[in-house]
Amino acid sequence: MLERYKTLGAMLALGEFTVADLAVLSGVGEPTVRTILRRDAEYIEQLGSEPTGRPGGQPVRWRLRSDARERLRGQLGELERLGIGPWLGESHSPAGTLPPGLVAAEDVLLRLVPAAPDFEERA
Amino acid sequence: MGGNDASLRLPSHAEKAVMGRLLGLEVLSPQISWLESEGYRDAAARLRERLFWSTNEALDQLDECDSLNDFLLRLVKDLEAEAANLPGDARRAAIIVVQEFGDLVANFVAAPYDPLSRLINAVARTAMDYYQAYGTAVPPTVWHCTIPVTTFLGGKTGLSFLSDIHLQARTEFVIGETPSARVYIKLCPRWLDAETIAALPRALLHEYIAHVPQGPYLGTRTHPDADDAFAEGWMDYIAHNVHQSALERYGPSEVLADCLILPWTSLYDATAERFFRARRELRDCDPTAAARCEGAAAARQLHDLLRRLPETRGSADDYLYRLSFGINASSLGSLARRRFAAEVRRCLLRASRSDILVTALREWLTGGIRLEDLPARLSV
Repeated sequence: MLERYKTLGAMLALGEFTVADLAVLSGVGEPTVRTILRRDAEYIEQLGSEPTGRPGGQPVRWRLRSDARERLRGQLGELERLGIGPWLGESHSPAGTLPPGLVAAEDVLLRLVPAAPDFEERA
Repeated sequence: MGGNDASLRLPSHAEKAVMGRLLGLEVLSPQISWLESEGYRDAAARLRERLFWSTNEALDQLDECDSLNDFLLRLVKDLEAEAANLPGDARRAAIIVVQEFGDLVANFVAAPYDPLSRLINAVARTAMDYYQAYGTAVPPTVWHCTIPVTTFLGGKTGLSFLSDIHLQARTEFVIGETPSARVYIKLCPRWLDAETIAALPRALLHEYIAHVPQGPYLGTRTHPDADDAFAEGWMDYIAHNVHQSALERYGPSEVLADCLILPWTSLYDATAERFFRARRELRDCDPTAAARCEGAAAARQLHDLLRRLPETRGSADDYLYRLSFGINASSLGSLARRRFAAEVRRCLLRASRSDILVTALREWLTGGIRLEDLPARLSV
């Protein structure tokens, strides 16, 4: 579940990507990324092949479908409500819990919003 | 470059104690390890204790009117006498060590210098070089009018988050027409040991990277709160990276690397890691540690993202420095910078917001938006 979450998060972040791009960004292995792309094909469309300048197969380039972005965001939001995450770098929190860093970040944002409602605030 | 040496001078008795330990430990610290590895643990302990005893005596003798050079030459004789009292092979090994200290003191007497002042100036110059190299405009007066002030304490003190590092460092903005600052360094001569000396470059880099060049520069600059995740956490991660680069002689400035004691490289590295870890450790008695931890985590995670994104992975360090220095010196206030750190953290923890950060970064990278406008893009 976490690998799917990370891969879908990388798809949303990049917009256009190859399997290798997703694997590097998400930290998920390329075979797993391919499997997830097959299963979640509804979110993406093929753009073509990416020239490598080397003989052999050329990596396929994909794009997040324009009408799928918000559906994908909603899907990721659902997974987050189940306690899945984080998507980049850090170790997984126990199932059903929010990462402590996220709790802290959102607490700061909640506390600072009333203090400085305008993000253009200048000191 | 903060080069008012008069402000660095300690009273004569404290200067003797500090200089005795700085020069003494420069030689003795690595050599004591060698003595111990050769089986002369007692000899090593006696040399160290003698150095500490003699420098403590100097600290207690407020009316002593001999010069710093006279004191250092006498210190060499004290250590020679200590070595001469050791038995057999230990004596021969200890004499080699003391001879090296004697050579260092002879060179110092021939061409005196202030190692502390040299280090502070090197750190200040390093910060200036980094901000310049990564395209961040800081008013020249910020660098040139910032004055380091060294003071001492007869008793014991330590960092609030690492009490066995016996120093304190803080920056105060100077109220005036031109933005400048004072960087206060408080030393405890009686407790000045190798680890404290090794922590100095790292502690000073925090002040000169995170605080001295902090914007905005209009009007009186506002000090960040102790629980400011950007100033105390995010920018400390940057200072830590600059310190590591200095040890590896990598990056746009070698001034600090040239000033460090070469045989101490591992000690600098280990002490800086302990310093950085301690700043982020959560403790019941320190409510600000959580903010430092979160700010550093946000910067580290963004660094990780930049290493992985196709557009930035070849120059992730460059982009991180450019972004961090730019935000720190920008016209954004402390609250906006803190919110920025929290928004970055949120986008990197919630995949449902991953595109918000990446899209904003791409807009900045391609010149579509100014760096100062990037934080606002994250709050949608």
